[in-house]
Amino acid sequence: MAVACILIEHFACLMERERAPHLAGRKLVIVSTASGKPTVFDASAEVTGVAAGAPVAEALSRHPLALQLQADPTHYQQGFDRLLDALDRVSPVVEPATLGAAFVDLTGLLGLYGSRAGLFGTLQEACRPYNPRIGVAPNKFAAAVAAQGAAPGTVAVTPPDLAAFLAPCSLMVLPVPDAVRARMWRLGLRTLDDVARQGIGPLQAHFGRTGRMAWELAHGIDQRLLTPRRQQEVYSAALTFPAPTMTMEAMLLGVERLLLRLFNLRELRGRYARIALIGGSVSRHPAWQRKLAFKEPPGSAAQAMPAFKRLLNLHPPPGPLEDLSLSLTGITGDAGRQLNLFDDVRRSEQLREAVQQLETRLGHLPLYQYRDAEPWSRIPERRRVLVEFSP
Amino acid sequence: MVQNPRTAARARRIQPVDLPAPLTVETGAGGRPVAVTIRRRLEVVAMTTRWRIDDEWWRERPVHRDYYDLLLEDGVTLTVFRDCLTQSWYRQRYG
Repeated sequence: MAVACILIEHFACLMERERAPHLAGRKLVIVSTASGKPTVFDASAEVTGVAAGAPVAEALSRHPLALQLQADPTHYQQGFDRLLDALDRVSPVVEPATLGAAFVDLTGLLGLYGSRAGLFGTLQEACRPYNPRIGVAPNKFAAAVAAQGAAPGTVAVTPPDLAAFLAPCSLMVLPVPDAVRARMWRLGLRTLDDVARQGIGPLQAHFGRTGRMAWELAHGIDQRLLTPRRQQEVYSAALTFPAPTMTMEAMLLGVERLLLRLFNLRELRGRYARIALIGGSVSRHPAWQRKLAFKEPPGSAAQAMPAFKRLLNLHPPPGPLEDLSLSLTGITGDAGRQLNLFDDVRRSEQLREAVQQLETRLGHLPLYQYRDAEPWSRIPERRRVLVEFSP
Repeated sequence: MVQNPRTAARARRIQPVDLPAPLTVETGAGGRPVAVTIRRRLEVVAMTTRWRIDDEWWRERPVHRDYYDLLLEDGVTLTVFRDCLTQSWYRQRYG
């Protein structure tokens, strides 16, 4: 198997500059408020020493002249989806990783593109206008490490001896939880060579399965397969309002027109949609988008409208809507009814009753659940215990 | 106001998991395992790695174990250990 890792750093900033070319050359800090307090979603390459997730105040104290932009994740995801679509035309197996990073299976493609140069050129062409770092290796981990070491716009191919290639790499490249990495660091492990020189047994004894995985990755062994993204049937329609609108009546009228247009498509006749994505451009705000999962998949505009009315009443756009787009996915031939996810109050009561009956009948409670006891312990049987289950 | 449930207060029962299971192991030169018996006798094809755990030496019953990762003739990999205090062999499972 040969895998290519496509890595486009600061993808969100690139998307912002594509949308507003006058931002080129300026220091950008893209701010997300999704978690409540403002944090850095992404920062341009010139904003050094600032990682995603850091407080915005920290970024601005280091780079006071940086321009703050509000994050528009919908726009970035749409751009990333376009990139994945282009890569899908190169290889049938493309796995998205994080925003701006993807793995592409190159197995068997050499014959199709003639030569390695032809194949790599096609990959780079698919990523245009971005200058991705591309790493090519026999597995995902080595490909990701190679991509991180490649210069923008170039392809780095790993040598046959993967263990020797990975040996000088820092411990930071290992995809393990931060707590595990910190413990490895405290044990004096600084590079993958340090990890590889440990026995698999002691690493497993210290860190469990994660230790085994770290040892294997340090030796260039990575048996994780690529998971291609699911190709979905998507039917979309859009309209532009004559003037930006905020009235509910106008928005509902627009939704109804789009639904009628979609459900009249020949491909959707006699079929039902499980999911709808509704969105649009909002004056002086980031694009607005909402996902709607239908409890009962509608097969017509009339069946779908009540759910959209509820959605727009609960989550109206943050400002005047300039246009409206609607996509239907999860297309199915069955009008199956989805069970309510939030009747867990009644369910927990039923569960409690069932447990009490079981305890009365048997004289003891035979239900247990796993709990971490001493997860750091070197003695395997001390790490977890079964605790009597009490709902 | 919290209602009195009128049941006797008690701690929740706890059961250990991944407990070592006693195992019959034949040893060769240097005390290395050469065969194990799990329903039938299985030769050890390779010993992939070994390590030692010395822990809880401050307790009345310290932990002093020699662990082995064994590849058996049927292709199964098994983690076993010898309790150095009792010289007994056990199979170790990881959750």
